[in-house]
Formats: sequence, structure tokens, C-alpha cells
Amino acid sequence: MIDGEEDIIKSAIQGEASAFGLLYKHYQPSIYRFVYLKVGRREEAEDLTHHVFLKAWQNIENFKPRGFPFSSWLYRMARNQVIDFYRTAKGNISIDDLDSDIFRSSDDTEGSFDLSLLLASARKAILELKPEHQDVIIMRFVEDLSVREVAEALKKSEGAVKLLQHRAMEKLREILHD
Amino acid sequence: MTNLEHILKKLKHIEPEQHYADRSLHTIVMTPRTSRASWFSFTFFRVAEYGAAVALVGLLLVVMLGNSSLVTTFSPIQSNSLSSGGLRAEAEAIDIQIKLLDLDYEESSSTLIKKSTTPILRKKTSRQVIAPLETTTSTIANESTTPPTVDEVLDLLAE
Repeated sequence: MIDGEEDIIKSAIQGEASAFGLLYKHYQPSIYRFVYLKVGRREEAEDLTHHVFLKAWQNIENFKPRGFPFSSWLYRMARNQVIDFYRTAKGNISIDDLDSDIFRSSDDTEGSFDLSLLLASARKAILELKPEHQDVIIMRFVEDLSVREVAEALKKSEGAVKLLQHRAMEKLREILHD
Repeated sequence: MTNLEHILKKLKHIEPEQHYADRSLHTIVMTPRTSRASWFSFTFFRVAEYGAAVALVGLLLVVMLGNSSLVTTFSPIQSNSLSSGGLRAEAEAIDIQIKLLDLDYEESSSTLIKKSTTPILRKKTSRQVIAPLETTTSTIANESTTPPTVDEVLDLLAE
């Protein structure tokens, strides 16, 4: 959460582009990662993330803070955007078609290569999970969101999120051990 | 923290290209914002305004073209009773009712007279009284169309 986020959001609601720019710069990487890990391709992730923030800009006046973070609102829109993406023909992406150069490091040492392989397999394993499990794994372990923030983004109770998290981790371990 | 959680944390290194991010932000903030709420209220009021105008014109046409029927339909007073034709019909209906009542009265009155005179006749009172009574009752019984008035009966008795 950015310092003085409420004021920034108020300014953005009034149409101040610079205020929205601050929100964009802070949240865009997280939303991009979330979308990327769910669709597996850079181009699609860029396109969908762009649409999420475009929607956010056009509908920001509908955002009611009420103690909930702006990030939850963005994640919810990103989730819906990905769902729409998979509903269309565009969403038929094979795991084998995933971008493989995402973790390519500048130093081609053996350790970084191993890490790249490990991360690529984790990424593929995430894509094999159910969408709900993907959401919880990405938000909780990649983005470090609190259970409450995840619950708000997924419109579920905190207890349900904890249960989902437990099941998602079990499933992920299963996939990685196979 | 488990090994799996540690690996997942590493995925945070995934980041969008800076060039893409800048271009995307620029495009977004340059897009004119269409306020859904104001658009909705604007559309709603425009539609309501247009609808009200059409409804008023329609009402005016109905009033102009079908004035009499409209007044007849919506008037709290039944206008039939105010028209001359209606009044005449109503008056005629009343006359008929009166005649029917008279007919009924005539039948009952002749019967009543007959009943009242019979005991007198049985007592064999003077012929002076009985004879006119008999004549009167027989006359009344025969003349069912024109019943005698009380004065006429008294005159007959006086003769």
C-alpha cells in the first residue's frame, strides 16, 4: 500500500493522471505477474494487464475504499480479465507454448541456470492448478498479500482462503514431485 | 518457510518491460474517461424527457379526438342522466311503472270490495242498501279496466 493512498485515489477519481500514474507504477508489476503466471505468455500478460488498468482508470470512481486495499480491487479485475481471456479462443494455450526466456539471467552460471529451470517448473506447476488455487498461491506466496487481502480479492471468507491455500500447496507439491 | 514457498518467492523476479509499462500508462491516461454514473443519469433523463413529451402529445390527441367519449368514461357523474334523450327515456320508464302499479291496485281493490260486501249481503240487511252494493260490486268486477273512484262508489250508494 502506498503512503497516503486514499488521497491519491481521491485525486485519481477527480481525473488527475499523475495520481493514477502513481497507483499504476506501484501496482502494475504485481498485476502483471499475477496475470503472467496465469496465462503463461508475455504478450497476453501485457495485453491483459493493460486492459485491467484501463478499466481501473475508467471505473475508479466506483472504487469504495471501506478499509479494503486498492490492490484487492485490481486483483479482482485482473482475475475477471483472465477468466474472459480463457473463455475465448485466445485462451487455449498449451503449457509447452510458455515463454521460456523469462528467467534468463545475464550471467550464465550453473547455479542461475538451475534456478531458472526450477522456477520454470514451478511456473508450469502453477498453470496446472485450478484457477482458485492459482489465485491463492500467487497472491499469498508470490505477492505476499495477507489472508484478508486475498479474501477480499476473491470475495471469500478468510477461513475459506486458508483452506484453499492448504489444498493448493498440497496439490502444487504433488505436481512438482511427479 | 518451506523450500516450495522459497521457490515461489523467487517468482517475484518476473517483471514487465519498462518500455511496455511506460507506453501502456501513457495510452491509459490519454484515454478519455467515460463516467458510467454520469452517462447513466444522462441517458436516463434524456429517455425520461423524451418519453414524457411523447406521452403528453398522445394524451392531448386523445383529448382532442375523443373528447365526448373521454368525458363520458371518466366523469364521476353519469352523463346519460343529463342528456335530454336519457331524461325522456327515464321519464317513460317511470310512467310504465306507475301504470303497472295501477293495474295491480285495480285487481286488488276489486277483490277487496267484494270481500267487504259479502258479509253484509249474508246478514240480509235492507234491500235498499244491498241492491246498490250488488250492482256496484258486479260493475267493479266487470269493469276491470276502469276502476271506480271512492266518490263514484259513494255516489252509487247515495242513489
